[in-house]
Amino acid sequence: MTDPILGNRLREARTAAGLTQAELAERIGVSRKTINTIENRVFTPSTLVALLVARALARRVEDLFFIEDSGHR
Amino acid sequence: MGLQSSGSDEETEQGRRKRRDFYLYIGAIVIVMASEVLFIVLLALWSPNVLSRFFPYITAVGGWAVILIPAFLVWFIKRSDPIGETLSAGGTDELQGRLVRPFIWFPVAVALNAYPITRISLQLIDGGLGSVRYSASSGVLLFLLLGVGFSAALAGKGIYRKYRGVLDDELFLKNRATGIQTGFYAAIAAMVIAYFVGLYDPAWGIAILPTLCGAAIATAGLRFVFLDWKAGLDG
Repeated sequence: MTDPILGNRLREARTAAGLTQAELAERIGVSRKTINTIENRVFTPSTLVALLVARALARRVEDLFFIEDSGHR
Repeated sequence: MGLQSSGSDEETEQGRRKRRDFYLYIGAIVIVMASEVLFIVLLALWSPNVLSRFFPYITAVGGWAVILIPAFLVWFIKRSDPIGETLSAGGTDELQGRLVRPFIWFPVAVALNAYPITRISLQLIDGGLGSVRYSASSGVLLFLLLGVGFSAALAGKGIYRKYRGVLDDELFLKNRATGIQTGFYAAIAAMVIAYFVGLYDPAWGIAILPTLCGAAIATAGLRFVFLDWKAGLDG
């Protein structure tokens, strides 16, 4: 039995956009730590934050976030 | 180009502020601790009996100093560095850091006050302390009220409420909730310990309650500080 976890390509998308964690955080009104923990998969963001991140990076939310079925948590 | 230069200036200014805050904190703590150690050494040289008589008061003074000096520094820095400036320079992270850091000092204050407060409580329960009875009990009460203040800050009241719009991002709320949850478990454990100690010796069961309450609040605060620090680590 595997537990689904939220995977993301946020780091790749952010660096491709030429933004630092702090700059992205400032654009969407959260702390740099929030971006850091999302990228490191420590923190699962709400739908609102996920949509705000996608909008700030001009991506679709499903391009940035996806469900991973690999491994137990 | 101009923007880059301005951003770099802001980073330099922010770095300078951080260094200044850090050195102020460390300097104040070193001075307090060194003074206290020197005082203890001088008393010990003078007479071991004097040391045992004054030890509770020395630790109590140290306990209050580690709370009051950082509180004064926070007030001083805040006065010379308005909130708008902080937000433009470091944003939410800087402000969150400033509000989280004081929680580090509460466990130190609890540890330093544990012995004097327990001893004063035992003397009060035995009907001792004579004319200083009320001032001594108000000292214990003040310590407990300080704990209530820290709990309120942890729950998002006071200064937190003022900057709620800036502070309440999801991660900060989650870390705070986890800290409070840990504190709740610690409080239940503290009550169980106090109950069993009270069965053995009722006076001790009451006397250790302020320290155990303080330890529970300190546990919640430390958990919050730890999660906030861990969230900032890269990788």
